[in-house]
Order: sequence, then C-alpha cells, then structure tokens
Amino acid sequence: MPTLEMRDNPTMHLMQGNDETIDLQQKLFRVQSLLEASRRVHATIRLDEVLEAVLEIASKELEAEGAFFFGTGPGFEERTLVYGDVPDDWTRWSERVEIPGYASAKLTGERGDALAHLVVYRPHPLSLEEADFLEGLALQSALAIGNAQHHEKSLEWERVQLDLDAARQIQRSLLPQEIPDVQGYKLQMRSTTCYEVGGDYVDVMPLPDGRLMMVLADVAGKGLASAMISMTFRSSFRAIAGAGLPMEEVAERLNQLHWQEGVEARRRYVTAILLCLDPNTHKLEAVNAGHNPAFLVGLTEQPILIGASGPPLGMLPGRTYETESWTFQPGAQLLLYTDGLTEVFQGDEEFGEERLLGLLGPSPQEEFLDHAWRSLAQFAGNARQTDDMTALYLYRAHQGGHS
Amino acid sequence: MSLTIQHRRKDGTEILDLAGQLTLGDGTGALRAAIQKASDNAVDLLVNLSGVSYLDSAGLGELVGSYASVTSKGKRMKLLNPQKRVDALLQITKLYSTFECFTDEREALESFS
Repeated sequence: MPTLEMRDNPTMHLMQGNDETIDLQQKLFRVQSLLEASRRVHATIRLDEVLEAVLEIASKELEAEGAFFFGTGPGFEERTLVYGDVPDDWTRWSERVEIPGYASAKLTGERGDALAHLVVYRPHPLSLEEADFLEGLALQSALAIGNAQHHEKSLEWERVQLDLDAARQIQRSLLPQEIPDVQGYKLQMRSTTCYEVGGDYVDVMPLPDGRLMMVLADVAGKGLASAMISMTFRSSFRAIAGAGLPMEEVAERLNQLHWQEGVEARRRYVTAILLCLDPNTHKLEAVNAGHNPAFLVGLTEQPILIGASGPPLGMLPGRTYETESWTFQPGAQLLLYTDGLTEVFQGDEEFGEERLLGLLGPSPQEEFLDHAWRSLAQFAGNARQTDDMTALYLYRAHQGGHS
Repeated sequence: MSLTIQHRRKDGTEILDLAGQLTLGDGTGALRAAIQKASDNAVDLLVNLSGVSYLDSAGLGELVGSYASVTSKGKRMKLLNPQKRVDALLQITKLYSTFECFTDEREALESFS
C-alpha cells in the first residue's frame, strides 16, 4: 500500500527527519536569540540604553526596516524612540488600526498597566515564530524598563534626600547656636523634627540694651512646606524684634506681614509666643498669638497659664494682641512648648497639658528639657515621633545658689 | 475616618452638616469645595461641627480661610456645636473672637435674620 510504502521509504523518512531537525534548529536559534536579547536589555540599568537596545535587537533580529515604541506610559512621554527607517507617518500608528507592514507587541508594567507597544516596520508579515520572538522581547523589555525606572527613581530620591539633608543642616544652623549667658538665669531650648525639616521655630535675640527677645512658634502642618514658612517667619521676627517696639506691636506687625504673604502662607499660619526678659529689672513680658498656653510656675500658688490674647499670626488681617507682664522671681520657671509635646500618644491617650505641667516640679531643674524628652519617649513607648517637638525653658536661680 | 458633608437649606440659610475628621487632604479639600459651592449660591452659611471629632491645624486653617472667603463675598458664616477637641482648639487659638458660635440650631438660624 502506497502509504505503507511511503512510511517505509527510507528516503522520505530521512527528509521528514531533516525537516524536523531544521525546524528544531530554527526554534533553538530563536530561543538563543531571545536569551541573547534578554541578556543585552538587562545589561544596562539606564532607561535610554534599555530602550535603544530593544529597538536595535527588534530591527536586526526580525530583519525589519525600523522599530519604535508607541505609548504614553511613564517614561515614554518625552522621549523620541525610533530606530532605523520607518515611514514618516509612523506617529499615526495605533493598536486599534491594522496597517500593513507594522507588527507590534504590548509592554505591560508591574501592575498590569500598559506601558507602550513595541512596533516593528517590515513590509512582509512576521512568521509565527517571529511574532513569538517579538512578544518575548516585549516581555523582557518591560522587565528591564521597570528595573531602569526603579533605578531612575532611586537616583531622583537620592537627590531629593541630599536636598533635604542640606535643608536640615541649614535649619539646624539657624537655631540659636549659643544660648546667651544671663546672670542669674538659665535658658534651655530644644527642637526635634519628625521629618528632615520642620515647622517649629525657637529663637533668642539679645537686644543692645541688655534685654532678651525670645520666640517659640509653630507653623501649621509639618515637613518641608512648613519649614519654608518658618524661615520667612524667622526673617520677619529678627527684622522686627530689634526695633524696640512694644511687644503687642511686634505681634501685630508679624501678623500683618505674614498675612500679606498670600493665600498659601495664610493656610500655614503661625501660632507663637513672644517673650521679652529684662534681666536687670526681672520684668518678663509675653504675648501669646493663638499658641498653647505657656506655664509660669513659682510666682503664685497656682501655675500661671499664659493664654492667647489674639489668633495665630498670619491667619486674619488687622488683629490686635495684648502684652502681659510679671516680675520674674527667684526660683520661678517658665515653659513654652509646641503641641508636639502634649500630643504624644500612648494608644489613644495623649500626654496632655497636665502631665507636662507636672514634670516641672516646685524647683527649677538644671536639665529639665532632657528630663522632659526622656519622659515623653517613655510615655510613647519609644514609638516614632509623629510631630515636631520644640520647647523653651527659662528659670531664675534661687538667690545665692545656681538653682 | 474621612469627612462627609451633607447640605440642608433652612429659613434661607445653607447648613453644612460635617461628620468625621477635618484634617489635611481629603477633609480640607471637601470643606473647601462644599463652601465654595454653597457661597456661590449667595446665601449665609451655618457650619455644623457636631459630628467633627478631630480638627488638625490644616483643618483649622481651612475653616478660617473659608470664613474669610465667605465674608469677602458679603455673606456670613457661623459655627454650630463644636465638640470637645474642636472647642478646645478654638479656645486655645482665640478664634471664638472671630467666629460666632452657637450650640442651638434654632438660635443660630434666628441670628441670621
């Protein structure tokens, strides 16, 4: 029977065997090409080089006249990504319209989002194996592009981190580097941010007549935006504080200047307490602009809470403030703080004003702020700080002793 | 917990019933949009804070910013029933001297007439 004859025909058997071998060899060749292509696209971490390598491989391996990426996914918006010769109207290519001479494979990102299409231009159509190769190359390309984009992001983040480090150093350098040594008084200040930079501000400025101007302020919000606002506030404060104006007028001018900075600054308003101490007469003056009450202990039986006489600075135009004054007696203590201290949490319970006031004790403490920070960390179970924390502690030594 | 805002109209006054947390982001954005929409309708506003459990510094800034925006259009904005935490913040920041605030809705509505 002919079929049996054919089956038994050794020549035919050999020919069929040869065909299979050639077919297998071609497949092996494609796999090898794809492996080589994969090695090349993964050999670099630079996005431009990855994209260029992919287009070159696609064109050469598929003997195409040219290739390009078409897409609007991340990384493709601003790049011209064409290799070889493609018709002038290549930009009209679309996955929805089948145009003779073009073949494409889709690149999908890590989250299944469409990155782009890898398109080759070749007048005669791709074979099935060639189309498989193009699909395989697109898959490898998407992986390599993902890696390169991660690398670009990490470089960008490194640059941002360097910027933030520089900003942190600048902000720290603008904190008082030396606390003025005032006979009979001890002043301590501390500020820690929850991010690289923060919106709290504390400062002391000796005036030519021997008085000390001090400020503790908290810009609404936290992080870089608040830090930028705190720096403009610092400039305003330093420019106005030395002019010898009554304290309430200092506050009113700061309020107006900040408000005039515009809508964004108004949203980043500043709560602040301004202080002026005359160490010769021991007169202490304070203005509270929308800030948490300061604690003044040791003048009366009960602690004095220095509350706000007007709203936060920069929030509303034309506001007025009032100055309060006391004679700072020996052994008296004053604590100014930002709400980052009272709003330290243990579960749902916050540290609160009462606990903070309780830390003060009846007599001044040499290292009070160290003690306060330790107590707060302990309360929070050493959890990560969630807000900027700043405090100013001032006491007058008992006569004849240091504290 | 994000912020939800319901609108009511009573005696010609737009009442905004706020519930949730008025904080930076969704909360402040929602309040700004709601007040913008309501004040475009050229009516007085009563902001009901009885459902607001927490207000951060951004939320407070938004409340005052909205107040400035409404009053600049010649309309009035008043507050109703702030709860413990919000009340404490309004006290500390001395903003009760800016905002007119009520605990009774009827009384608040009558104050507009």
